[in-house]
Amino acid sequence: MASIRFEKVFKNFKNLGVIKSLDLTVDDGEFFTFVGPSGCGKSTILNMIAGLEPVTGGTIYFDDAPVNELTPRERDVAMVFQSYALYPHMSVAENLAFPLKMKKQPKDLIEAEVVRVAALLGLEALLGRRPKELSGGQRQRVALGRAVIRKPEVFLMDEPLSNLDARLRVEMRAELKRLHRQLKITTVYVTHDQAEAMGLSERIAVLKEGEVQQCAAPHEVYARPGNIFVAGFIGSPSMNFIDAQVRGKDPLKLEINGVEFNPVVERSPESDYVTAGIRPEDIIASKKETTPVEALVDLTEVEGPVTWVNLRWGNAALRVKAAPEEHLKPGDKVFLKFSGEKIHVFDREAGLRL
Amino acid sequence: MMRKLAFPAVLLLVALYCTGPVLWQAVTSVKPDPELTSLPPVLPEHPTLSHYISIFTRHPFLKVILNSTVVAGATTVLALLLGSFAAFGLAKLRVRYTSLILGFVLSVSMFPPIATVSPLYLIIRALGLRDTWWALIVTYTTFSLPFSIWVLTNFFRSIPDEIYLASKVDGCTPLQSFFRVMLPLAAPGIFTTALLVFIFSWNEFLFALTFTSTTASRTIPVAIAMFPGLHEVPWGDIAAASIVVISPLILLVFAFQRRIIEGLTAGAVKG
Repeated sequence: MASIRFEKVFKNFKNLGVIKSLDLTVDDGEFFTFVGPSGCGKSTILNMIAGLEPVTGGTIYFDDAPVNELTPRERDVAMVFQSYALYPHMSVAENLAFPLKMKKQPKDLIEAEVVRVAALLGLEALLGRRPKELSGGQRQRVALGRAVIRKPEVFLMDEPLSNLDARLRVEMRAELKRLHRQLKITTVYVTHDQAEAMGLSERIAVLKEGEVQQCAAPHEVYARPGNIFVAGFIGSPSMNFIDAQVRGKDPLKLEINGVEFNPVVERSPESDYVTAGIRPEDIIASKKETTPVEALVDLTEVEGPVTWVNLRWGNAALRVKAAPEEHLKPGDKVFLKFSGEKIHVFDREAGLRL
Repeated sequence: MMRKLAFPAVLLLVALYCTGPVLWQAVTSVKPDPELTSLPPVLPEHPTLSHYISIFTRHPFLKVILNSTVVAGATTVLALLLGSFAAFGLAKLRVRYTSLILGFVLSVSMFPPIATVSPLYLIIRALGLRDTWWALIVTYTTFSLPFSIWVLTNFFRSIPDEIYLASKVDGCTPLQSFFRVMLPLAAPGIFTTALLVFIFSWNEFLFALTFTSTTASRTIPVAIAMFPGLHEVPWGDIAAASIVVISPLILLVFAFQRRIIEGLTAGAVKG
């Protein structure tokens, strides 16, 4: 097992900067996720760790040894691909055994390991089958097995769950977590699904256009997003952004649609206008007149324990939470209750958190 | 009812059209000499194997078959070996200007053989390869390489990159990836190419005629062309020889056909 350190790593494709100066460390045994929209360079990072893609500049270290010049074979990494990339001409057992075979391990050890990994992932009954005879979830498990069988230094996963249906995805998520807890192998995971990233990882790095926007534990990223991009990307449904006018700087007083808010910030805004971000789950709509803030329901979306409501508040469109018992309908008049301390404030210019 | 019958009828017609000449040859090969020129070519009244015996006794036909087998076999092996390495490199390794290279390779086969045969003859003679197997093996390999590189490059390209990357991560050197993963997956392409290269070398006439002079290296098509004497054309012998020559090809096609279909249905990455 190893930690992975990026030191000023960047990557260009034909003079186009795909990764711009990456500086971070994935700790030994950590479950670390790169999350971002497609094209943000997250898979490129994974390929650079694996040695499938050379870095244009900078250094990648495993523990304290630079690995830039090492082939994938020498780096001792294992990778799970989005399409599973099983070898179609080999049985499940042969697929699992392949990495050990390439390491020239003795035959009886390989057989024992195949049996062990098959038991770990519930593949015992499938060992003789070919990949084409397996379901998506089974293929996924074979791909995982092929990766864990040789106890690699680093475990890389490139959107491994995105080809599974929603239910299986949730199941496999739990399985991945269990596997990580058992094996404690440094894992770097890549996904565009923020919920997956939040649920699985000990730390996540949010990427946009090849730059890390924020790198922290999931709850930290959720509670204190570093800029507007992260705030909008993490959390579902995504955060509401509204223009706000600064009425007082110390303590901060904001006015939105004629209503005054007192959010907590670390530094004062420089200009008189800021962007306020409020998560839908932090605004509660109700037909009861508990607050003076009045809005008009546009659309509702029932989601079991809560109902999400799109509504118009003055000239702002918001998405908010309501209790399902309210039975809101389009056109209803509702009253909004804000949790004041949960308002995020970003400056207008750079979109950075205040 | 008419529709039900129309499709098989069309199939039968096409099949007859294709196999017609072969059947005619087969019938001719077992006819005694006096019946040879009778039209239409119906089945003979007194079938005979005399032509088959004659080609092996009156001509050194066994040696000629050996020549053809060695030349076609060696050409196939060489063209596939070199071709698959090149194709793998072009399809999966970091190679620049792949389309330029492919175009250049293709240009080799653009010259009409008749235009290249004289200079090639001079080269072959200068190298002292005249009337040897190597003269033909080298020439045929040269001319079938572009074809095999093109076909195989497409086959290797159709194998998902992720499978190749997975094999790299699993600890393969490029050569190990090639032999353990890529080659088995490209098997249908390999077989198809092998078959076509073999048929080309087996049937080639112009170079074979030019570069060979004795039975030391003469191949079947040339040998058959040498059958006619000054005063007679031994149609029966020619027909018998033709049947002998095409039977291994037909057997090969049937044998490989199964492999090709098996290969194609072996399963891709996703279901």
